[in-house]
Parts: sequence; C-alpha cells; structure tokens
Amino acid sequence: MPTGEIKEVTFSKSLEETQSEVLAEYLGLIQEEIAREIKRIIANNELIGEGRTARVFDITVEHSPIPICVKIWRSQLKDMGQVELKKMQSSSPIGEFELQDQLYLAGFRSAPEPISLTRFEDISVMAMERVVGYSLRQIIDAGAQIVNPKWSDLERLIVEMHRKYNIAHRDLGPQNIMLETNEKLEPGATLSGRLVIIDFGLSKSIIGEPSDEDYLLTIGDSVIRYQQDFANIDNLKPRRGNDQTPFAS
Amino acid sequence: MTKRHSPHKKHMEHPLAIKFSNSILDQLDELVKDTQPVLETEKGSLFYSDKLPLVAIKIKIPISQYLDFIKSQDHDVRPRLANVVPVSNRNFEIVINTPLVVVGEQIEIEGRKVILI
Repeated sequence: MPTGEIKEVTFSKSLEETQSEVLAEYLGLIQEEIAREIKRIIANNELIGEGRTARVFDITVEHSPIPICVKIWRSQLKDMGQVELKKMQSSSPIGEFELQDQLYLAGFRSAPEPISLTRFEDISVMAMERVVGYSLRQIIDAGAQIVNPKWSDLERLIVEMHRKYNIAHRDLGPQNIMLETNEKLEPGATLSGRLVIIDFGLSKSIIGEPSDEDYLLTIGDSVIRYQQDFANIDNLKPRRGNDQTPFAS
Repeated sequence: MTKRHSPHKKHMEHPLAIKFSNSILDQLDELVKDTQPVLETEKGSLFYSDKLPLVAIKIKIPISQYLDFIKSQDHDVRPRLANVVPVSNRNFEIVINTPLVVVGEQIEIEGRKVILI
C-alpha cells in the first residue's frame, strides 16, 4: 500500500450540479427574449381585462388548441387605498397560480385552467385558458339578461367551491364571474352559457364552510375585511328593485 | 475542530423562473405514456395533442447536448429559445410553450419551419 503525503482530493461535480449550471446558463440566455416578449404583448395584444394589480391580454394565435390569455401583474400597484394595498400585499402571483392549479387538479372545471407562471425580475406573467364570453358586470352594464343558467345555479356553484373544493374566493363581484358563451352581447339580449369564476388573487384555502375568520386579515393591530362570497352572490339575486342582477327571474 | 461544510451548494435565485401547471404537465405525462409521438428522430420524440396548449419532447440525448443542439441551429430554423423550456421529474424533459403544426416530418411555429428534434 503506498504511503506518504495524502494529496487533496477533489471530486468532480455531481450530475445534478452540472445540470443545474446548464439550466441556469440557459435561463440567462432566454431572459432577454422573454422580457422582449412581455413588452411586445403589452404593446400589441388585445387588452381584455384590467384591474389595479394586473392586466389581462389575449394571446390566442391561429393554431392555439384552446383560447389563451396572459395576466401580467403590474410592477407597481396603481391607485390603491391602504386596505386594498394590504390585501394585495398579502397575496402573490405564485400563490394564486398554485391555488388555481390545485383547484383544477381537484376537478373544479368552473375556473380557467392555468398553464404557466413566468417571473422575470419584478414582473409576473400567468398564462391560462381564456374564457370566451362576458363578465356579469359587462352583461349588467349592457342591459342584457342571462336566462340559462339561473341565479340558483351560481349559488350551487359557490357552495360546491366552498364545501367540495375548500376555497373561499373573497372577491366575488360581478367582474369576477363570467358567462362563457358564443352569443352576442347587446342591449336586451337573452344569453345562455356556462358560469366560470375568475381571478383567485384574494382567495384562500378553507375547510368546509368559510368562517368569519376566513374573511379577515390581521396585520399588527389592524384587521382588514374581505368581501364575503355569499353576500356578493346575494347582491346578484333577481328580486324586485334589484337592477344589479344579470339573471332573469 | 474541523469545520464541516454543508454538501448542499447555496445557489443565488435566478431572476427568471418558469413554472408550468401540474394540471397541464399531468396531461402531457399521460400523453407521453399512452400515445405514439407525432414525430421521432435520433434526438427525441415529440408528443402533441390538439387539446393541450403545450407540447412535450422526450429527448434521447443528455439535456446539455439537446440545448446545445437547439442553440446551434441556423437562425432561420431555430425556434425562439424562450419557447423551449426544460422540465424535470416528468416522462419528458422539454416543454414547447407555443402552438405548433406538424406537417409530415416538418414542424412549423407561427408559419415558420423550425427544427426541434
């Protein structure tokens, strides 16, 4: 057995380390291309929705198997009060993406299927299935009516989202419920289609029925309240004097 | 006392991160497992469904070699690198995140012939 000074032994990089370096170098190569693509979408593609935290653009092209859109978060939040700002700061694009993915994997089909989330520096972009149709807000504003499904179907859908899929939406206004339909929206139109819930940015995983606490956010001494799902749904119930419902009675 | 270093190398977080939904990746896994590729070469097999927004490639060469192959393509047939994204822990190694059309042995993206495998 040879004796003498033991030389320092160096091990070659593991396969995992080599792969991770190759991937990091590749990501470095494509990041500029992605930054240009995001700017191109913002400049050229159809804006189909806009909120204070994000904008949504249609990116469907000729051979897309399904209609696709991207939600691009603003790097700076726009025109927001303290309460809204705290709500937004307590949520994240990755949280929203993963929650929507879990919801879809669990079998909830009344939400758009998420496809990917890309984060580059302070910009986040979520690609997802585009719902073809109109928000209930657009239908109310156009003076049209939904004849099928009925308001009770929306109520059932929300009960199912709570009890079976364990999600409280917490921002379920008429802007975040869509009627998927190919019919034309015009004053007096009677529409049929399928209800789809969108924008899970403020949603929360729950167990069973949402409790009052599920609608509260405590930061230090301040308590912030989210919108209760059923209060929002009740506002959309067709009843005498309610001109803020799209549902036919 | 000898100071011991953790075997796990601490990496800086890359400014770019791309994550695909498990719902779509699971469907691609099934596609790769249960169907024949629409195109196959010595570099890999391409799996495509007209119901899914992403395409899967199962490569037959190491990932570094495959990425070098893509980067070395002539400009006129090279896909946009941002559309060729490696993934791990799946039945396939590459996701193509843009719609494509397979015509015979050729692949077209946005009306342009590209070489992916």
